[in-house]
Amino acid sequence: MSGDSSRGIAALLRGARPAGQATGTAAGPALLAVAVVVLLVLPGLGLPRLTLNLGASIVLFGLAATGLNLMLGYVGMLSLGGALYLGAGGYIVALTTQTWGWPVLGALFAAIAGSLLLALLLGVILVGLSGHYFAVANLGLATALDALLVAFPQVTGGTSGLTMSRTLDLGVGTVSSDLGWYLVAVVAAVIGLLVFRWTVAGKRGRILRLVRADELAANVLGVRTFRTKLLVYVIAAFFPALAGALLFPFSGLVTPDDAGAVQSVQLVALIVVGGVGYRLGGFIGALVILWLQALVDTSGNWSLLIYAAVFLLVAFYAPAGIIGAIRGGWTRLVGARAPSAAGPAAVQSADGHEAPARGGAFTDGAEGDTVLGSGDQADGAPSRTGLADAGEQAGLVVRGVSKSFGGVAAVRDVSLVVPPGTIVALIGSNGAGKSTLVNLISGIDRPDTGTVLLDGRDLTGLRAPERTRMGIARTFQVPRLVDELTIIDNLVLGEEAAEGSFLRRSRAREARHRQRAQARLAEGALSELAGRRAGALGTGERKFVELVRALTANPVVCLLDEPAVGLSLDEIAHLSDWLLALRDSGAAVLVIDHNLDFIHRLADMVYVMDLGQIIRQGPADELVGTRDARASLLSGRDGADAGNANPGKGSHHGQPG
Amino acid sequence: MALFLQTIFSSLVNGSVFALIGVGIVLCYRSSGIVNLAQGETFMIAGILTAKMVAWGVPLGFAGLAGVAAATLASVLFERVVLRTRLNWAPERLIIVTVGVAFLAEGVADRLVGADQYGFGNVLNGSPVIVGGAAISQQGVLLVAVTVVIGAGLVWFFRRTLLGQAMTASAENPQASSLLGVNVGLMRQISFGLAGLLGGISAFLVVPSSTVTFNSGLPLTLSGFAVAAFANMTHPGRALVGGIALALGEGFVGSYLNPTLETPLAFGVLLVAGVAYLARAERFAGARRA
Repeated sequence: MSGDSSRGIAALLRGARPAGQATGTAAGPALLAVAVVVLLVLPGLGLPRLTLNLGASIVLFGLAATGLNLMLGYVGMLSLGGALYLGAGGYIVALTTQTWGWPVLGALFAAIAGSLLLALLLGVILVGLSGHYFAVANLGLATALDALLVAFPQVTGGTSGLTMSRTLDLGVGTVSSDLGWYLVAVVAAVIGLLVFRWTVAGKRGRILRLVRADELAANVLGVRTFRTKLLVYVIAAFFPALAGALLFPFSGLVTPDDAGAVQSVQLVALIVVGGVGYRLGGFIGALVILWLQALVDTSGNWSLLIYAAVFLLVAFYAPAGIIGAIRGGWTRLVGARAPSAAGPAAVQSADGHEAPARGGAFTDGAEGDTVLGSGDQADGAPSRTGLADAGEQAGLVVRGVSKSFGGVAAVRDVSLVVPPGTIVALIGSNGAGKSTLVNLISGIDRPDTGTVLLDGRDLTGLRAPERTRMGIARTFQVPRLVDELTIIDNLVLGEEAAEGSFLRRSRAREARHRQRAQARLAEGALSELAGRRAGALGTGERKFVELVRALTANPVVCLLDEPAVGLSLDEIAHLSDWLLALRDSGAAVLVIDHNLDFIHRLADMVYVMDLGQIIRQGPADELVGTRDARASLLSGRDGADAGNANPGKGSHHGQPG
Repeated sequence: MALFLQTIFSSLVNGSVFALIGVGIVLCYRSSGIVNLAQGETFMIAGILTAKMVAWGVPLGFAGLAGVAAATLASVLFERVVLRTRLNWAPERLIIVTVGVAFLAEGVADRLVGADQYGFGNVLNGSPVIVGGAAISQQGVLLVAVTVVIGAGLVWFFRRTLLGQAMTASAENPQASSLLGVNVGLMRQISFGLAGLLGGISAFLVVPSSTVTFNSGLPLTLSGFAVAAFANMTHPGRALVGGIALALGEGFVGSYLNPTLETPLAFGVLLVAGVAYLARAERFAGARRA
């Protein structure tokens, strides 16, 4: 691993991609190897004041900060209370070894288990909080823990804390020398990096990015966002817990300040300086800040000022941190494109293997499948065989649903039925309540009254992810894709978001999802989009991709909110063919649109909504089949809608039946 | 009974400081959407500067005025120099920036004046007011009165005056307000200035009884944020009530249980209350409109 240094650097740079980029598994071990080599060689380089002692501190603080990096870089959760778990780890080790005489290994285990348990308990309270409330609530808890530790001096030693022996008896040998401690720190860091890698690999990484980019879309795709964020919060606590459990035996002392607000903020400073979202961000930040402090802080109280100055300079001028700046400089030097503009060349699936070339053997083989919803319900998809009750209506049934926002009744006593194998259209002017109704069906909003049934089962009390897992899929007026991921990754997410737990991951299954997504794209003649990033797509393409994503999980009911808006006539014709094929495969489809030609061509039934109520319903031919019927439908409506309704005078498609 | 009253009195004094800092955070958030975790530093700046000037022989009145002015100026400069050009940054990045500035202020103060405790005398030195065996200093009465007047004044200002309504409008929808002719930037600057002023005033009135150090800011900011969060980050009046309530909670825990439990317990209760309060407002799917 030491031979090919240029390859090592390349791997380091590649593997150190920020969360926004695909992280290659192939680069993972290389990165780890390089990191270990660097860590091992560093103290031997003879840098001034960079002693083994300082090195161990750097590595352990870097490890602690890495947990915050996982949360902030991958899920966008900023915790200003990281020291909570640093302190918890330290105090548990101190108490168990010093007070109760536990062996070190048992104490380490207790420290980690105890901290994770604390994180689980606090996480249940904290994780549901949004944005800055989450950030500051963590800071508040760190302050509270700090104060609690002061409040019980007979147990915790009060403000002066607890002293520990610097000897670490690991059973196989005793660590007490600086070198020994440094090696222990490096081993802990490697464990941390492996946990990090595991947490963001493949499916897990994609889901985290989805949650960060768009929590609502994640819910609608079937991600149990609360549970997922809670898990990340607990996993992230592992890093400071492990670091704390070693750091304080190493320094021989743990005080309440180590669990407090200032320590917490300093941990955040480390990842900001090193680079948020880069796996090594915390370590680089710790190296820079702690080493600078050691260089300057021989006399006088410079340490806080150095922290603040470096922190602010980097936050202002190098938003991607030091690693980001170096990477940017490197790519500019080498002449490659900047990471943020990663084009097709940079496209690599999040699993590390290159996306198979389009039109490859597999895609051809899959072409025989009917378009959507055929055959492959093999894995993950919940079984939907059999109706709950023979007397119950199959498909989607909405009964007497109402919803008010404040004093405004957006939906009033609406009932409708979407049987399997039919397309039902919902039309009405803007503000009629159509999208609200779809939100009520997909679980984004909870109705004030009424019920939503799927194949006879009552969904009313279920949240959006559960409904998705039962077979309700939807698209949005404005497509919600994860811009930073490729189209293929977005589509794969469509399937894996709704299957099992966030933690469970199978490579074989991911490969299958990938192949299926390729096939779906090929069917839609969209294969050339596979490797593009979603952010680079046009409106029509985004609409199609979102539709494909909604359909990948073989839903029972599809809710399509204005799928044709923004599409060209050709695209609309293409979309119609798709939806008809979807209907023929047995899905129940609810379409909202303003384009009556489009509706007429597709729909079996039409519901007309106005001011939150269904004002008319009937077969499509009857309601939108003729010009007269349409005129009466829209009577009393202003010209904008009527114009909207006939954009193409569409006689060249849409054969009146 | 004396203990009971005494607890209420001292809680009123402490609560006034929490309320003033909290109202400052509310003002900043309303005008910019930024959680200003550097707000407590205005207290520290005013307190230390006043103490230093008094030590150099400047009369208390002038020193206090200079301290309050410095806090106000620092807050305005913070908005102008640091935040104004970065309002399009992601909220979590801006929180980090405000924390960084708070750290910078502490770091500079640490270098300049060290870790000593600083203080200065009261403006009102008359004998304390005694009610039912409990005492509250005249300065304490002044602080509470000032806080109530400021809180009521702000509520009136935002409801009744054109400038106040312009500030509310620019907080709720900067683009639209800007199109309607409201100078959003100026509104933001006034808000930050006011926030600094409140931090300075609270320092001038409470440092005589509590002293100030280079790192007094962050803990105050935390209490202030708790208060501001209770006010949903938007209502100065509710922040006032929240500040007093927080201090009363801390005070009674301190008087009747264990003074060292004040902070953890108060924060714990507050967090649970805050979470319960916020959970009500959350949508079913926990996110914005589709």
